[in-house]
Amino acid sequence: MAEEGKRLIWFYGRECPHCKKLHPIVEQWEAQNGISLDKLEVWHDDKNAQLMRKYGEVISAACGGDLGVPAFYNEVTKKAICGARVDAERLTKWAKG
Amino acid sequence: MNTKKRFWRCHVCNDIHFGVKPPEYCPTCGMRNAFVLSDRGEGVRLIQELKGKNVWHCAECRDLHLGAKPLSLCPSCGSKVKYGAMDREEAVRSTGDADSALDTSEEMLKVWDEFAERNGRIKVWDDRESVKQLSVGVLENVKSKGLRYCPCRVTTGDPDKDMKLICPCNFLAQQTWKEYGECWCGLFVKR
Repeated sequence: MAEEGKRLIWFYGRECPHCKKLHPIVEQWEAQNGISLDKLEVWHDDKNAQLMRKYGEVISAACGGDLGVPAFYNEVTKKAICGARVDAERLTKWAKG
Repeated sequence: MNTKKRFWRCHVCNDIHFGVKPPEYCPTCGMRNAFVLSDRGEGVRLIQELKGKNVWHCAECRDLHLGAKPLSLCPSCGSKVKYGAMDREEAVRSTGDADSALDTSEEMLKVWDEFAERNGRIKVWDDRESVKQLSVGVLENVKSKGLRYCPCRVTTGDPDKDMKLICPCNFLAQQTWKEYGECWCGLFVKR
């Protein structure tokens, strides 16, 4: 796990179907790239939800105006990607800045 | 035909109607067939807390409507008598203990199917497993956060903003609806 401020974070919701579908894709991508994301559930963990709100401005913009999941936030580049159409190619571009 | 008064909510602007049938056109936002079956918990909460709207009642059959404007035609009794203003707490009391909670996945799925059918321009995602998962999430959010929030959005902590996240939300305004013809979580898609 990377130290705070240098993390690649995946905010997800336990009952979000797009998040569920993304899990195997993310795991495969992590294995192929030797990268590990911090996976933070936001509906059942208030601390995670608060962190997501802290990065709310950037994440909301990536999600089309409101906070949503699945959302990925890069603490180094301060860039986010969001939504059901995130794929391995977009993850690589986001992670490598 | 169901003759029991129930709570209905406009998915676009959160108007609440308490009556046998919902209005065809929402008096506040003007949207047609925009009302989805709600329940007492949600209906009462919005009547008590939603800002910028008033409660109106039908002098004939006592239907209630929370909105920015009164209805000119009562959907339940057909009366053209203008709706009169009413105090919010009095309005809540007048609904008695009517209406049971929508608290199972099966009920949520039925409500969403009926809403889509009545609307005519939308349908429910055909991935029933994902739809069921969404219903579980919505019900979890009722238990933990008090309202039927979308499990693919995240509350902001601002009650007024968060009321816009009640499912079904105003997905017509979302970028995903405009670009791909689906709401953010994929629950509703264009026909």
